[in-house]
Amino acid sequence: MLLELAWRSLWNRRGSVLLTLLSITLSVFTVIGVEHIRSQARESFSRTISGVDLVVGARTSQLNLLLYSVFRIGNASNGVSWPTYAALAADKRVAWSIPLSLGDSHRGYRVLGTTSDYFTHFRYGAQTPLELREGQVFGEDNEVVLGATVAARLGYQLGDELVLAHGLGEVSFSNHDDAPFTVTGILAATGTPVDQTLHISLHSMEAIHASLQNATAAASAHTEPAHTEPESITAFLVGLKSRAAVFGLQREINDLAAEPLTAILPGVALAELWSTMAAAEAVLSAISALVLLASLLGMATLLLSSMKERTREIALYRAVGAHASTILLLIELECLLITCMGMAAGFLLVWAGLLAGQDWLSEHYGLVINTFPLNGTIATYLAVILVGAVVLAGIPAVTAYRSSLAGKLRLGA
Amino acid sequence: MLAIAIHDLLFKWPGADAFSLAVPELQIACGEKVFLLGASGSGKSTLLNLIAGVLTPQQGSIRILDTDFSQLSARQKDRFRARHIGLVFQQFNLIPYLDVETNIRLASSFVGSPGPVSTSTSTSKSDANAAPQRMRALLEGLQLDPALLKRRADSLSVGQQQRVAIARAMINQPALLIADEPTSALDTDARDSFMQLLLGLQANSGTTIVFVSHDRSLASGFDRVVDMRQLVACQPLQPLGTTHAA
Repeated sequence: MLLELAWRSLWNRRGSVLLTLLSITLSVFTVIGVEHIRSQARESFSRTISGVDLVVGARTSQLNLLLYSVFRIGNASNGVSWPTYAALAADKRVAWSIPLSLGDSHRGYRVLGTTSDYFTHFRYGAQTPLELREGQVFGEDNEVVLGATVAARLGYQLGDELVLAHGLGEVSFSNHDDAPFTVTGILAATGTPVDQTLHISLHSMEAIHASLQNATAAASAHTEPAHTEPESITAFLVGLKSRAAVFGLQREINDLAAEPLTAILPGVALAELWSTMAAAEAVLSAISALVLLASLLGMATLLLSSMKERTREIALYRAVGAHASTILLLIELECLLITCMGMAAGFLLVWAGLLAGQDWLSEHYGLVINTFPLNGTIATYLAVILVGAVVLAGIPAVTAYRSSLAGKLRLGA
Repeated sequence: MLAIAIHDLLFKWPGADAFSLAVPELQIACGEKVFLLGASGSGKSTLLNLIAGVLTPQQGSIRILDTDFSQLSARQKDRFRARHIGLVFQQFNLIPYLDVETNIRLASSFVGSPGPVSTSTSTSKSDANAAPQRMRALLEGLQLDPALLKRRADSLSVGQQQRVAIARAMINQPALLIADEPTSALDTDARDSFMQLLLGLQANSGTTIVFVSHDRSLASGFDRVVDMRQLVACQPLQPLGTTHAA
């Protein structure tokens, strides 16, 4: 009965209640959204790479190197020359190495030039190796292995032919029409940027550039033969025989006289990323908490200002036998109704937003997220919001309680 | 048994110069129809709040239906009021945004479980099945169309609203009905039919009625007229110069 009364009372003032509801919905949306994206970003980034001891690229900040080599965010300013890579790969402390050559794209997805070692040694998540869902690793030139998302999105199957473009845009002006690639393999989904990548051999990578040069500079007498070693690569991943050697080798690479390089430990770089983001996260959390507080206060204000016009109503409830505490309960119930609806709406909004935006996030930022925005922290936040609402609703509720205890039943004029 | 028994009552609103009310003696028998005559400012509103158990006197005793209010907690008084006392006011008797039926049902929703309060006239809530019938009978007695039940209270005319207010006040079959200037917002025709319906309803139920008005012309159907000025004639706390003896 009381719930029905609370509901009808809110419905009677649906205009102002709707605005309050909207502000609570939006602030809950902000709080949940920020927290969920934050935790999911961490999780997603952390599981992108594992088992790699060093990432080596041209001299840059460790964060930048990590972002462009592993997460495919941004671009390398410079590369690593092939002889330098060859020399380091041959170091006796190195168990394996994976060269990475980035820079091309196919319909918005990155093309990665690498070797078959990539499929053997690369690990993600909890030391999980890459797995081919169908087909096999590229062998010869002009063969490509697709990430799961690429294959699903672009509808490619084994044996399909596709054309790779130079540059990163969705639409490229220089399609390498003369060098079609054949799909030889499709990887199983990993939930990492690998899914958004097309993998070709380093040789093929060189070949398409060579043929591009041939085509555009036909007059030039200088033609390079196909099947050449690449001049340079973007970066490379290193696995060591003994992890104990990691700092020694890192220092040696960083001090290399032949070429200015940066070697990073992925874990350390990730930690730096988190600490860089921590301040921004704290500011975002604080802002969303304040926004939430403001909207809860707005709700309390709405109900408090409605108390004056509801004096008669409250006196009536008292006249028919409602105790003052029933009035208190009624006001609290109204607040809880608004808050719960706001929380539910905010939650659903985040959920819908994530469902709608997950592809965009994964394609543009390599963020693979769980779209259901509930975890321990968020559940705690929701509980805190509820308690906060009850406490703030106490302002109008206690006001109503007091006035209804002191007030007379006499109504009207 | 007496419906209302007041003895040596003294009530004073907080504040040094605040209004005070003293009622040496008032006895109203069960089933009696009493017309309480008083102008505004005579203290009748305060008296009704004391009888309804909303205000607590500083001195003296109030017994309603043989129940001593000084023995009851605030919550028990609220429940007692819900069960045994029907109240009709001058206007704004109904929650405007609720439909008529919900407004009437409001009165029964606060009756609660049988507490320590019990009198011979107590209506138990075991007759919940009878409630819809009772509502229908009440509406019929008050000449209200049952189709009005689903209408919002504020879509009714003032005359209809006042009659719904009686239905609301009577739905729990209270032993005592208090009506505070219920006709002052009505025009002459509506007022006459209101009085007729009210007294007709009383004739069937035998409810004790305390009808408060400043309009002596309405007193015809009542057993007894009590003048507020006589009732509170002796006011020891009244400041000098404000007493207007009859």
